[in-house]
Amino acid sequence: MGNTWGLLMDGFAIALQWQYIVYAVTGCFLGTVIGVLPGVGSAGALAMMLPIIFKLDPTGAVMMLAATYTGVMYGGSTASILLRVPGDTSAVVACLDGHEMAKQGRAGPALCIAAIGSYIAGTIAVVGMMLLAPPLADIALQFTAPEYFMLYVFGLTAVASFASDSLVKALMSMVLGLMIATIGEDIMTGNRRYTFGHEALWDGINFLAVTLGLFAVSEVLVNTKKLREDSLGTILEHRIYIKFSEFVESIGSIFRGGTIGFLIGVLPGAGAGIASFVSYSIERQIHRTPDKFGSGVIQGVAGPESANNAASAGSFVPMLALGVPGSATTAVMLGAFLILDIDAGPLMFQERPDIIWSLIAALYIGNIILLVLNLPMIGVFVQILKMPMRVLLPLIMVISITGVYLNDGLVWSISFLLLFGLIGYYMRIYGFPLAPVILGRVLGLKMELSFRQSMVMTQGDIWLLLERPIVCLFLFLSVGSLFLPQILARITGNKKVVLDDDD
Amino acid sequence: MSSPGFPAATFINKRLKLFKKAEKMREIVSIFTYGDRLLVTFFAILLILYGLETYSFLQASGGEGLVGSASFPRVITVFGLMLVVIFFVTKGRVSKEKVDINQRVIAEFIDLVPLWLAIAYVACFEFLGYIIATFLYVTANMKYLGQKSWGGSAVYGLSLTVTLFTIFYYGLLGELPRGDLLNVHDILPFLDDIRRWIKG
Repeated sequence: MGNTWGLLMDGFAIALQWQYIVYAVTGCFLGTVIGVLPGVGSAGALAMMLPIIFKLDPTGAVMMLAATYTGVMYGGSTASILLRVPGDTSAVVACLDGHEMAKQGRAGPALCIAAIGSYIAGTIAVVGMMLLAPPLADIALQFTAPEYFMLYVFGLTAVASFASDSLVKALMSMVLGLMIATIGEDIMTGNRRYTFGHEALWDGINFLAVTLGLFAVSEVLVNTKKLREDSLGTILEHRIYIKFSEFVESIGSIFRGGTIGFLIGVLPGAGAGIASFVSYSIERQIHRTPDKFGSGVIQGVAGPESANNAASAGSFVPMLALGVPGSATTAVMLGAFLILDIDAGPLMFQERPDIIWSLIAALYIGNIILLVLNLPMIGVFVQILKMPMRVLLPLIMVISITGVYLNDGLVWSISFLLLFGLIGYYMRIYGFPLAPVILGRVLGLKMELSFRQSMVMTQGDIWLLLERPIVCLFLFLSVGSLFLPQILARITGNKKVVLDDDD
Repeated sequence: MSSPGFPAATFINKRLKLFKKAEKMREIVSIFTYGDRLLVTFFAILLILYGLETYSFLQASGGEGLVGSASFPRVITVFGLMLVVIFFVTKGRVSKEKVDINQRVIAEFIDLVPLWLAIAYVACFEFLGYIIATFLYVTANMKYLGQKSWGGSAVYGLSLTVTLFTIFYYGLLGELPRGDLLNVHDILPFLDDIRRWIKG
């Protein structure tokens, strides 16, 4: 422990040199700006930084990449909260309560708690990386296909459980997401499924087109309808800073989100998106009035925002300890390591402790810089919401279309963006939640792969899976997450979560 | 009730029966098409087609059994159809409120005008190029959304186009459509000169 502490201090001593601080500030700033734009995402942002970091020394390069990563995560949340335009999966949850808060004139507190939560969760993650990285990497290594399958089932059921008030509709949304995920080339057999001979569908439907269509385009359509019916609320005077009472209300969510996020982030392939969804589900389930979630509850922003930040840091654990990238972002980071002639893996702790510990320090410093950079900027960000709708709506539409086009250069993908915009519009009108579609799309392929691998392992006997303790734990959690809200609602006498709502 | 001696009464009786039948049919149809039920009906049709399509995978790659390409989509199909059944069973009867279909279709069409504009924008995207298509789309959309003058809409359209073009083309060095009909980059060569300068 003493040795670890000493190494971390050495890392800080390196990271706090003025030239590295400049790199970190630049990375945070660029990351925030890029994160606001849809379609780029953290992996894309890091890839864009590669031409710049070649000219830097390895420590500076790694610090700049880490700072960019933290900046992108915060920038993505900013766009979600203000405009309901999520840049990537991890920012989707911020649309739910964050955007509702913004609509009620509480964009400032939402952005503040996102920044503060990210900072505290970043600190939790750094401590977690110091103390738990080696044993957690060992546990993650024990996860095989059945454990991953049940983890994904848990992720999906957890999301379905927080869908507004209809479990059936939420599960249908999830099924739609799973269906979308199966479009394209089958990773096990190479069979092309649901492509109908179109080459553009071989890789499946562009994820960004689905996400932006469901969230951003549907938002434009819903607001245009309101504008036409003259039922759009008046532009509110926004409060910029958070009240102390709001901070106190959120502090538990931040710590829970930070811890859950870090633990999920350590699992290869799980990522910040799942962490934020799981954290949101847990916050909703333990809240006194779970039915208020989705209408602008600050814990619905604090928990997931903390979780996604901590998960980002957690995803570095398998990369650093095992040399296995746990996400697309860490894969790009690993690519950068190769370019910089750094061998990631267990030996890195002995051979290049300067890089490892300055990277960990950089993640922490990046969070402080984000706080310093972004808290004063909240007033500026909030001004976006004061723009009239006739100015804002075309802006959201053009940014979404351009983002999708830049993502793969295909006009075909934009047609999916508009199609999913239409689907999202009707889903919102008729009370079908959108978030389970996204999670189904994200987890679908991984879930299918682990399901089929599990079937191979057990030769089709699904009951054999129940002999594995981690599988049983996740099964228990999955069933619990589905029915716990209803049981709790009965006990506490709150609004009952019903199988279907009758409008 | 039938009165063979009075053709008029028989005619009315037949009409009445037909009307009742039509009413019953309408009630049955409305179970699957009223409000959110229509969306679930579409979802059920999609699921059935989705499930049936899995039989073409088997032909493509041989018998695959439990771990083949078709296994997971079939699990999804069965689970999805179970949800559809639960939805309709728990949903109960339909409201008797009558809806004027024609009026509803027209209202929906008008509500979706931004989508039609966006489709037109995307259709012109590569033909007119990013700069011209975006300018026209934003200007038209702003006017539709209530901007009083065309001039104001055009000024906003131009400034938004320039800003986004700068961010995406110079900031992110992305490739945007140049236009098959009118290549603005040929007319204004400095657009690419700036980019070359940025790239070093």
